[in-house]
Amino acid sequence: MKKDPRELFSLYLDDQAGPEERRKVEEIIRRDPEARRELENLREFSGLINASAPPLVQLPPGFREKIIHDLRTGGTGSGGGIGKLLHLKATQYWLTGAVLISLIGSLVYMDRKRNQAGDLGQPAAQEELAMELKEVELVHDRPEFKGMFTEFPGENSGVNLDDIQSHADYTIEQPAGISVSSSLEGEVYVSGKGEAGKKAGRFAGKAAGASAGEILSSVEPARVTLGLESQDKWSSQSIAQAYQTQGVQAAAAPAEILQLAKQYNLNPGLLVAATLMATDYDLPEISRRLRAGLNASFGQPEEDRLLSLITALEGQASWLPRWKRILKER
Amino acid sequence: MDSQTLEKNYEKLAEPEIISACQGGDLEAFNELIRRYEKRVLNTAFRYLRDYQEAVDASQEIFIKVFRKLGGFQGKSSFSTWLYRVANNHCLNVHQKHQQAYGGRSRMLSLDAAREDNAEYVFSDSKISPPDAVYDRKKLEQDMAAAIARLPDNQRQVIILRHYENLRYEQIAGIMEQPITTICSCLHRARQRLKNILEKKAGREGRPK
Repeated sequence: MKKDPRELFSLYLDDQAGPEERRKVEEIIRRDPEARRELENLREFSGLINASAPPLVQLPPGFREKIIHDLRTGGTGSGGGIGKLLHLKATQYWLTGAVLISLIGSLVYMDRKRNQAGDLGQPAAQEELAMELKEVELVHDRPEFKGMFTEFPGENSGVNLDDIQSHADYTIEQPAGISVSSSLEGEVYVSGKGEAGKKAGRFAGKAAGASAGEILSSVEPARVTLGLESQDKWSSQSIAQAYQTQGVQAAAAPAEILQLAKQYNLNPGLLVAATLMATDYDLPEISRRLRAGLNASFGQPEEDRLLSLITALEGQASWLPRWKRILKER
Repeated sequence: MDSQTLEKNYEKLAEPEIISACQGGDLEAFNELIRRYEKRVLNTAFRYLRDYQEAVDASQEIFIKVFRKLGGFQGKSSFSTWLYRVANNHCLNVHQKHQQAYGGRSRMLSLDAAREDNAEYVFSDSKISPPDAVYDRKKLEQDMAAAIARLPDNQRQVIILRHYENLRYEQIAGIMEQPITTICSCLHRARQRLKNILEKKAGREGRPK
């Protein structure tokens, strides 16, 4: 993807630009008064951020002693966060797409149960959720998935629906209370409401928002799954096969989608959002929603490319009917 | 053995020796390692969380995590980079949990609250400012904190590391495990987005941008 030359402004302002980059920036601001103003605004704004730094704080008495004590005693006496931390499982760092889809499948079930039985916040419901989660984590150990797992170090990608809505640019509600959101930066979130949604967000985020750029998402959980290839770790075909092994009907993303991503130089996240909508809504609805999303967005450079995509969707999107047919057949 | 005695035994050791001892489970060595980094980690946590007690809890959790993960530290990056990575990831997680717990609303507390609750722990500003300037400074801190809280994780992280921790791009790249070019783009987008958020807020409040 060709970079916005104005990204060099940050390098320049932070005194991190090399001679060639400095020369480029100076050339840009010499030719373009607007760019010069932008640079000055950015310089002023950077100073404002610096000035907003919170004050330094000092350590409370006994800070270090408490840590050592908790390490010695296993943290049982901690009233703060340490006790919780000591119970973290190593498996939380080893989640996989297969786990994700099992989880979402479970969440559909849980969501229905919740609707029938009331609040998931009740102890019995929480226990039930814990059992479900334990079950799906076990998928990791199944022999048929041996060698298929990738470590996802991204611990921070999962978020709940409310959090998403505070900064995502698009949110598409899926069946069973699951939502898929995408920001203009291409981040994709899978989320849901309530406790189940938080879990979905956290788990799915690890897969979908993993640092390697894998994008993995779900349409109509437990029926059809879309995997969009990004880099080389995952392919939609391998994801689909993994799900099929579990008895989940799954379809690989058609090559046309990947081509479209390349053609429009689009971050896969946006394309996932668009194609997810394509499965549930017709073309005019997709366009309407994308345009509404654009109106509420922050004017990122991706907008132009997204508009091109919308135009393509509104015109001849030959992959769409074919993909719909594939889904229907399954 | 109290912490002062522990420090006497280890304070002269070089960092690799201390780390090696920690990897063998030596808590006395770990006590010294904490001593060397505790202020930095606490302040990092405070910059993310803006709540003194939460920052203290998070810092202690970070050191527990570090002790448990040290066995896997192979020295591919410097220890401080590695520690920063653990600390930043942990703070982002805590921040997310707050957002979940508070229904997605920012839980950024005002610095007034931090000062009132923890007055003895907070350095007072040495410069005396006129009342208006104090108010503006507080307002700026609050508005900026709320705006930073709305950024995606990677953008929030890069803003804090660059502007509050004052790290160089290479250091940020090491902590975030991303190429410098990615850090550059991310920082650019983050600043633009912050600016947009604050401008929109200023517009809503009827203030000049």
